[in-house]
Amino acid sequence: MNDKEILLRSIQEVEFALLELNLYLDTHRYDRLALMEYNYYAQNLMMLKYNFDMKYGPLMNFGFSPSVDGWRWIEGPWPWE
Amino acid sequence: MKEDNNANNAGVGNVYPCIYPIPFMPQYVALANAYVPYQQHAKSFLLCEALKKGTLFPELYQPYEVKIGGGRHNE
Repeated sequence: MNDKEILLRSIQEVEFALLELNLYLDTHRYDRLALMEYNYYAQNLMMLKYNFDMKYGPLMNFGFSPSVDGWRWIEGPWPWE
Repeated sequence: MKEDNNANNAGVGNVYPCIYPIPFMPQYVALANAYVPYQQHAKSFLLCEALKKGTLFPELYQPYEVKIGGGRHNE
């Protein structure tokens, strides 16, 4: 697994944990432990996504990172590549 | 912390000292009703483990164990 796949994998792991915490917090809204965990992972996810964005190009076609020198979205690989 | 008495706390709203205003099982249960115990979570799986196991919560991890020689043999 190259660096890109490793970074992508960790993004997936953090997103999965956040989804789980989201479902849990829906019914346990005052659970401080889960809230702390959620806040930590949410921040972590932002950082990971930003790193991925800067290194390998945008993950999402709009709404996350700026495209300064040219539209970076089309530089990325097509899904089947 | 607002104590919310939702449906499954059928009994008197007794607050437990822990983080949960809602008890694991309701105090006064009505007959002919089904109740799901309230999940009380303490420890989470490691992230890589959570993604593999499909849940972040050890208490919810219930894989189908393969029983050697289990199941019906003769049709």
